[in-house]
Amino acid sequence: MKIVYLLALLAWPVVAQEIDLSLLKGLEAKARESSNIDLGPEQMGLIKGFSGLVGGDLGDLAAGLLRVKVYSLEFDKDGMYSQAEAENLRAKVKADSKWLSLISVKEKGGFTEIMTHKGPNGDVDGFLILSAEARELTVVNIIGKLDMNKLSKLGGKFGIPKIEIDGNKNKNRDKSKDKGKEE
Amino acid sequence: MQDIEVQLRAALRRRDAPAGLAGRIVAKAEGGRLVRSLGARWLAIAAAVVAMAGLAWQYSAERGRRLAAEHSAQQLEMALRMVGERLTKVERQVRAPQTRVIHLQADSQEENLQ
Repeated sequence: MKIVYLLALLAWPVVAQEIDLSLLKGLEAKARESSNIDLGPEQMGLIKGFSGLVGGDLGDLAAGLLRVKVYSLEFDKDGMYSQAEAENLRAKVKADSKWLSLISVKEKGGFTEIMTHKGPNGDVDGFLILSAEARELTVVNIIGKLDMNKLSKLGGKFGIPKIEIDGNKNKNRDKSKDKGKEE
Repeated sequence: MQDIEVQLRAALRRRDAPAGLAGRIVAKAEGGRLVRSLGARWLAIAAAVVAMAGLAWQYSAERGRRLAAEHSAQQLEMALRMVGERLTKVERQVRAPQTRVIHLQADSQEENLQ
């Protein structure tokens, strides 16, 4: 019995960052298109192990990740799913005080929520994007350390759009200022 | 004295080998060699087959792992593409004046929670 408790305790930190998507499972039948990605530690290990084959940057990024889950649904018409279901999921995630909202955007017919999970050492060990639009519902749940600088390095490759991180912007600004001073 | 001579002569008298003895000896010797060489050959073949099967299994397992890694990498790329697209879209929305944005800093939210 002690072993069961110990295993449960060991499993807890991973489970805490993992979003339960069962609330949305019934929507798949109504969707025109659905994408479901679930990559676990084994797949991450393979990507890291074959980083020479799949690309070093991708391998580096995968090294810090434990699990990546994507659940995306596209609908033919507006209102084919209830926003309340997405709101429920958001409320459930927010109920855990370890999940911190970074950006919350409310728009007509939907919202986008970007959240991070605070680990036991205060570092970010989980990431969530919940995007509910009139015809599209997307949940991206990343468990592990998502290094935004490494992610921005992947921008422009593999069809990943270029991402500007504020820190990079500032660095670039500083560099241009320094150049200006030198001149 | 004569007895000894008689006995010696009888003992040293040339006698013919039993009929077919040479043939039997040669056949026996060759048979053993044949069995031994056949055994060694089969053992070598079996070892080669086992080694080849091992290499084939290893190659197949490696190929399977490689394919799984490529498939996983493609899926991770797709996931990251979605992350990138959402971040870009949110950045655009944040800049758009008509969008209502609630931007919370992790620390300040934590303070609020406490």
